[in-house]
Amino acid sequence: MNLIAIAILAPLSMALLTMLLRRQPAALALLGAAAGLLASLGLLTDAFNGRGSELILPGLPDMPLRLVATPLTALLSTLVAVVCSLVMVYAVGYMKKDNEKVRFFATLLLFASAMQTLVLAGDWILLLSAWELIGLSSYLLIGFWYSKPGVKTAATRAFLVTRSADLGLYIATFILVTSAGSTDIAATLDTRGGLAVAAGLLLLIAAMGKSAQTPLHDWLQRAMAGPTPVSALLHSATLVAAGAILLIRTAPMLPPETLLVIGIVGGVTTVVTGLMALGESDLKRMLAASTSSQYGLMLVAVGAGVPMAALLHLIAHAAIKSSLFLGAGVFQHSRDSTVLDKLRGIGRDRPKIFSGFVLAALALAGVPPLSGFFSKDAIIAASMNSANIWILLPFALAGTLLTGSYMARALRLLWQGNGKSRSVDGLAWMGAGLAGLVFLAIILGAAFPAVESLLGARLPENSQVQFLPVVLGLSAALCGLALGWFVPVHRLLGPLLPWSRQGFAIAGGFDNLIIRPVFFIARTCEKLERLLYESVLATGRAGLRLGQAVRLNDEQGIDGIIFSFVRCMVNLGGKARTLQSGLIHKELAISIVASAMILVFMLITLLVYQ
Amino acid sequence: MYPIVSITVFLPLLGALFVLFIRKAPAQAVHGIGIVTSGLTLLGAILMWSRGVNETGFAQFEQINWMPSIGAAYRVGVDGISLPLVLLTAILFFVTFIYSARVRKQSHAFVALMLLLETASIGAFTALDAILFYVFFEVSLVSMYFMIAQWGHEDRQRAALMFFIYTFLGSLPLLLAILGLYLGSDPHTFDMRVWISNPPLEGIAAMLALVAMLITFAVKTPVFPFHTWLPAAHVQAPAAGSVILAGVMLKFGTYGLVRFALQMTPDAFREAGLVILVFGVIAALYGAFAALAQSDLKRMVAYTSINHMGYIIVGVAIAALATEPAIRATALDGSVLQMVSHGLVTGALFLLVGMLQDRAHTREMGQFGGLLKVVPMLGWSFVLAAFASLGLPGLAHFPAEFQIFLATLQVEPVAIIVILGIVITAGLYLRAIARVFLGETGEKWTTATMSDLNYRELLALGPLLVLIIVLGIAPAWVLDIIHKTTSALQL
Amino acid sequence: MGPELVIALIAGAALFGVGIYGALSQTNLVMIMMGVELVLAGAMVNMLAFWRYLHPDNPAGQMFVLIIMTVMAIEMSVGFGVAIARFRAKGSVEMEEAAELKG
Repeated sequence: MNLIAIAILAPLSMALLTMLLRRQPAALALLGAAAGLLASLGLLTDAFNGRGSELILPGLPDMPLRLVATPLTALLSTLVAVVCSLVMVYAVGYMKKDNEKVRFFATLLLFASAMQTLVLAGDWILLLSAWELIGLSSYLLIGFWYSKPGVKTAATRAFLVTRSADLGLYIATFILVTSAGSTDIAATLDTRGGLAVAAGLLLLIAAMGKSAQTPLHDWLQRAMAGPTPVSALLHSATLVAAGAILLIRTAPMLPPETLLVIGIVGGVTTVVTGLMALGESDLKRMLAASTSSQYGLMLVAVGAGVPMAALLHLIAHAAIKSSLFLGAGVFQHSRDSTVLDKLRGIGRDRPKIFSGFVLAALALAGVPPLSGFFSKDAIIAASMNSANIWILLPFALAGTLLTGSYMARALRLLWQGNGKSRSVDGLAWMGAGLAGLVFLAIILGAAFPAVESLLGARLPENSQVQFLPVVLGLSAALCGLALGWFVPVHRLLGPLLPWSRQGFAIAGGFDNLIIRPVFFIARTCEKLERLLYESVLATGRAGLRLGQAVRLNDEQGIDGIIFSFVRCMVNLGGKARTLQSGLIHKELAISIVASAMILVFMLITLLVYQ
Repeated sequence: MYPIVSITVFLPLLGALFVLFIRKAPAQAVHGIGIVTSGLTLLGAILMWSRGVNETGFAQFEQINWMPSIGAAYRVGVDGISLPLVLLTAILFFVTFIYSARVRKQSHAFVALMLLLETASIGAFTALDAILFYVFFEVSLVSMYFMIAQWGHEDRQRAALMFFIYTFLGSLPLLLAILGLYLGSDPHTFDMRVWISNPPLEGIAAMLALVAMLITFAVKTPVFPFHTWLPAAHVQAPAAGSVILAGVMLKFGTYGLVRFALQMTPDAFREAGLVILVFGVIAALYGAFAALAQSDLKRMVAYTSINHMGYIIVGVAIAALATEPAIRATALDGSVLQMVSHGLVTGALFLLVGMLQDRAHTREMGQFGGLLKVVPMLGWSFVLAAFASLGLPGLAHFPAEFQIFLATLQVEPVAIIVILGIVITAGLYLRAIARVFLGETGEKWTTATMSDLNYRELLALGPLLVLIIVLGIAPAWVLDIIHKTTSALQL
Repeated sequence: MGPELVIALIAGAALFGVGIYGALSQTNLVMIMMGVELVLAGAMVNMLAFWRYLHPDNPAGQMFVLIIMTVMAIEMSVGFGVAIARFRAKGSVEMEEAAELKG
């Protein structure tokens, strides 16, 4: 059977099986993830050997659905499968005490298959569908503990923000399909000109939604209300990666104007969310802000015209950030909270987990020889090589600096101080998953040259470790680490701290700018509704009044004429009645007069006709 | 060859007459008869489906002479646009009969009225004679009036009256238009096939006939600003009535829009296309916003009907304005598929709201909270239906809306603003789900006071949910039939 | 038509006129009835005159007069019966007061 089909159907069928059987969800989940992983590895091996594959399914008339395994998609598929499997292992331990394991693992598997569909999609309709379906899975997973306060708002907000941004993907799809005459993604990458600029900007909007770029970064912060494996899988490595993946795949089509905008959006995000991360008081929210920041860096790389750098960082970040989240999950179970104040000194209570956490943190900051160093270096080199060096380079360096500072701050807060930890169930599982991802975070740097050769490296000439980018990057990283470790945050951020705690909301943020006007329009429509309804009823009443007027006209008008006629007749009769006096004389007189008249008449007749 | 179409049309009527004759039978028997009759009708519809449609023109044609002097005959037949609607009608009625098996108050009258309504509905979709169409069109109003007035909720008398008078008045212009088309055709006939292949009117006459037809279908669909009867009627109607009203009777309007307005006065429709498009966009967006402001669950779903019908209007208008046959086919495919999807999805939603109302005796969202823990099957069904309604890919509405929006961008790019509707719809449904099903369970509702779906409700809801998923993942089985007709459409 | 006839007719006419004058001008029912008697007598004289001087052989004239006389008698008896009833009911037979049949 086609490996593509297995990669997608394995998790999906296990999801359905879990929902039907309602037993052994963990085992089925691991089975599904493992099967999918094997299939993806198979696709990757094929890609390395120069073989691609394709799967075509019937869709809409003249618009079939396509799944393709090119080197890029096979690589992404493997990445998704690997992170899925390791997080699944972790989740077995994390969810050990939860009552709703069936729903959890089924939804997680649903997500896995949707994500695989997304990365393997070869036509826009399937990509769009998968894009929405991962949004659905995110909604279901963020809202997993739906009775807890704040959870339903988080899930709703996440879905709505991404759905609104998805309008960009819809319209961009329509534009690209119309200009290319086909829904095949590869065919639409030849679009040029004004349409390409428009489509590119719209795709950027969609990417901003999914990858939580400013100003749409708030949903990711709130999404931390979900279980930590969800945060690790969806909201660091895969779902949020979808935005960057979209831009990386369509990079050949994006014209320079759009690339500049992408770079600026990414850069602004990096800085803004980096500052937010610095001021955060909750570990998971800090990691969420950091995720937005890192994806901002990836967008900077795309904006610099080097999507390969973004891809490398995506791969590294997937391993790194998910490890950080998995570690945070263990801390969460130990202290029943993710607030940094409550997690003081957990590093010393859980040294093994913490060491993994530290390694991942250093990797994120860009310390060699961990994987993050190579990817950060690629991004900085890319920005130095681009036409907009003076816009993109400062962003990249600022991002690196901020990364180091907030990671170091987190490490300091987790190491120093004291607190009471509980014992944690399922530590073995959680540790295993974490270890796997940390291992990847460490060694992936060595795999990058292979990746580059697989994809026909499009890194600029000085992609190898060259002097200036390395120096700049390392100094920014080390500076940041030092600042974060030694300087308390209120001195670092100073007056910006309260604003950063609000997520740098402008003019009241999303609530004020969008939600209030929308509800205002809704209420106005409702008022208009009442007005229309009342006017219809008023028309009805007017009709009734017209009926009454006609009735009055009938009764008083027409009947009146008839009755006056009758009265006239009665009057006439009354007058005629006066002849009937009852007096004999008058009767006699009348009869005599009448007879006399008759006689006269007869006489005249006789005489005339004689 | 058996006249399957006529049998399918009149079988429910026979059932209704049978029910009226056996006055003494207990309610269960009566409901049983209703279910069996509608089940047989469903079989008939499936048989019709298997016989398929022709490349051009109408298939499965049956004719009996009725009034030859004026050219009116009993003519029925189907094509790719009406056949899916016939199947939808049969499915929805069957499901509704199963759901309504617990109606005890005057069950004879109820079942008889529903069966009469089923005959009228299937007849309207298969009629190929204008007088016949009009007869079925009006008979459905009578049935629905009594259903709302007798078995409805608090304010049912006023809502039923408003519904009847408004839609009845609204359908008079259609009669005028039919007469106009009759007089314009040469030789005079009421045969719809002749009117479609040879549009009888031109110029001003055609435009006037179009305006008259548009008024009727605007009231029926309904389109802003002629829509105010719909929320009132839906809220007061019993669940079964709402399902049929939304799932089937609204489609009379859109079906008529395609069959009469688009196919019989195509040039005038093209000229008026932009105006109609604007109305469709306004209806879609207005419906979504108005739904957002509702706190009554049933009213909210009623307004989303206006929104979905707005998309259909947009699709039909785009089909008229399109110059390339391929784009026109896409737009019409989307519109007809949207009619089918809307019937299934909104039907499911109204059943679910009805089930909720049966248990809680209220429809106000503020009264609920955290119900997902108390009634998980009902809750997850609602989540599924709600996500289908907001256009999630993989579920019923997405293929249709995708086609409509794609065609819209290709023909009249500015109108793509209508796509905002899917975000507003997403917002309103998520808000409803959050308020009703998520969050903390109040003390008011426990598993003791509120039971989950029982067999009857599952049996009614299940097929709809399955079809919603099937239609979303593999719409080809319906689209093939629709596309056969829309790709060969001459306008 | 001889002078005897003319004289008889004049006598009859005189009787008739006096009778009419009496019927019209009298207020008492008995007097009115006297007037009616005179009218009928005048009619009888007229009849007799025509019989005697124009058709003396025809017995029809005599017959007619006898019939009139009989009718007169019946009518008088009925009339006086009504007068007596009226007198008993109202205490007088003045016709100016008898307006009960006024319409």
